[in-house]
Amino acid sequence: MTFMTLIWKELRERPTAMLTGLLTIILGTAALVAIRNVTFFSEQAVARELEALGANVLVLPQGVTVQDYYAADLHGQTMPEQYVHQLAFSNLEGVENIAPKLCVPTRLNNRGVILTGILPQSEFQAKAAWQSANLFAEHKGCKRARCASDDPSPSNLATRRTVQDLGPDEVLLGSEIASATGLNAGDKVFLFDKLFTVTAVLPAIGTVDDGRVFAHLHTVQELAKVGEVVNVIEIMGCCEDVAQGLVEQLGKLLPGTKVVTITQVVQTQVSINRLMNRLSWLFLVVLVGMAAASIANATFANVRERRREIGTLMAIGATPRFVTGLFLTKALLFGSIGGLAGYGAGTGLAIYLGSQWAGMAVSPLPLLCFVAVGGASIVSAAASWWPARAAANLDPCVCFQEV
Amino acid sequence: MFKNLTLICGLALAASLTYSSAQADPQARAAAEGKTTYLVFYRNWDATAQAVGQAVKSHAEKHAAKAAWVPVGITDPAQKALVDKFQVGRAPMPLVLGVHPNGAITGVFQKPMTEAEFVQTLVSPAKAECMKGLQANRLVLLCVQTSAQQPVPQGVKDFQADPQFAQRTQVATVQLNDPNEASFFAHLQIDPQANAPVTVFMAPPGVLVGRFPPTASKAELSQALHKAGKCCDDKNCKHNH
Repeated sequence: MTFMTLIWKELRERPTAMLTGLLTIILGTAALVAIRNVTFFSEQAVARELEALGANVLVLPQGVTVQDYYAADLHGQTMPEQYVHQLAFSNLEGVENIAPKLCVPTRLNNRGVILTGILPQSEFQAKAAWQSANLFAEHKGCKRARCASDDPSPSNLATRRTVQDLGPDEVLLGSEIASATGLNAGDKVFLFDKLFTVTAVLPAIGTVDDGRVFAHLHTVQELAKVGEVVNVIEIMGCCEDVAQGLVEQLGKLLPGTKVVTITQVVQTQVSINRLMNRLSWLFLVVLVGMAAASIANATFANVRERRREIGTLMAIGATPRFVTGLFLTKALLFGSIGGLAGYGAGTGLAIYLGSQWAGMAVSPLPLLCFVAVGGASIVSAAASWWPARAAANLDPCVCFQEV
Repeated sequence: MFKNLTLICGLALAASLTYSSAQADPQARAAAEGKTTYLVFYRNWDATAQAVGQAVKSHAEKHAAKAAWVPVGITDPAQKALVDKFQVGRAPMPLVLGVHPNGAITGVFQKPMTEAEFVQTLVSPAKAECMKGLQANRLVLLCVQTSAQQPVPQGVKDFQADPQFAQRTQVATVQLNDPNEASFFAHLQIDPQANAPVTVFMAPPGVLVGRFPPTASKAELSQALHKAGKCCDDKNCKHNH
């Protein structure tokens, strides 16, 4: 009868105890794995969204509510275009790009579309550079030097929500509207009875911009006869921290407007992520404690149940170390199997919950497997240490007296 | 003889056309005189515009040798060319632009400027050259030399010759003992007493990339530029990803 044979034999003879012990470990591990998995992908999704959104700050007319960031410019209210130049002249720290927009509904090939007027960066970058009178300050904070030339590609609009140049008679088409109308770069289109040339079709980005047509802001203002106004000014800041500081400065510079950061727009999701992150640590402590207590209790019960067996083993020469090893090895075995099974269950739960509740794709995290198995094994062994030592300290004579 | 007469007539015509153009464009006229022009753009010559204009006028008169001022009504058809040149037709008014003779904008104001602010816009020739380059979105390498015979450092030449930077690099030279540049050197934290040549590397929108000795290589300049492209220590900053 070898060491491992003893363990397997005992497990076969007491399956209920084994299963309940294992279940404790599996459930605890599954819960922790699921929470961590969902939190990880949720944080990634928020980071991707922040990156894809580009603009960190929205300047809107007062009274506009932001229910949907992507459609924040469809409220119909306006503010003077002058604000754009004021922003360009203000030389606020951390402002990388400014993108004013004006949206008007129109028809393209008998299809209703939103014509979005945008101001090419080339038209006011020079104005922003005029503030270089305070030159040659040491690079601090987020006044990043522009090392590379600005990307003139129109597809920049899709990724960075700005475009370097756009002629008064040129338009850019979102991918959806282009495929729906069969239009390509170089084609001619009529909007507001004015002939435009399609300069480029933007790549799909999965937002409302895919269904929009973009033209020069001043052309759209002229065609819509609305005057020198815009619906929204998107400001691309350098960092999240800068964006927070910008809100206060923008409020002072442009009173009578509403200033919203993208962080505020995704605040709910950011808050949930933060909450889940903190809760997962709380759950970790609670579940580890509960699992440890449960395993310790089960192991103590197992020791009591096997007193005669332990006494017999010690009588025939088993050392206390051997007896301790029996229980700890069993605990490690439970921990490994339970950790692995818990990882599988937790990952499955995370994939299901992620898609059903959070609407995002979750995939397995291999690293969590090692953490789950290792952690469950360690907790299981640690919880079994005291009962194992108690078993090792049993007096065989006392055990036999109970026979 | 006929050929010489033709040449003289042609030169005279060109000179007169230039003179007429300068006369028609007050900013060009002031630039021809080597003065910084303060263009006071306004929509309506109301109290606010008058206050701003009066402040500019008084400062310009005090520094008449270096400064001139021109009121520009943005709705005046005669001024349209000037308004379009600076694309300020939609800017908030009143607006003051300080324009150096080389075309660099040395100051932008939307309210009455103080004497100190005004003086700050009367920049030295070297500073104006650097500002013009930066406003044109170019990398500027200012070689501060201890003598006029000193060559441009090899590292600077190599940097300028690099295809990655060639189209966007401007190299300027200035003499360390030029008294007109004293305030500029102070701004750059260059000690004229040290009598050591140095290359000052600047990048748009107005960042001091670094000061380099004449022995600095192209690689060192490139590395400093890319390092300047990094934003800050904020771990959330996308430029640090």
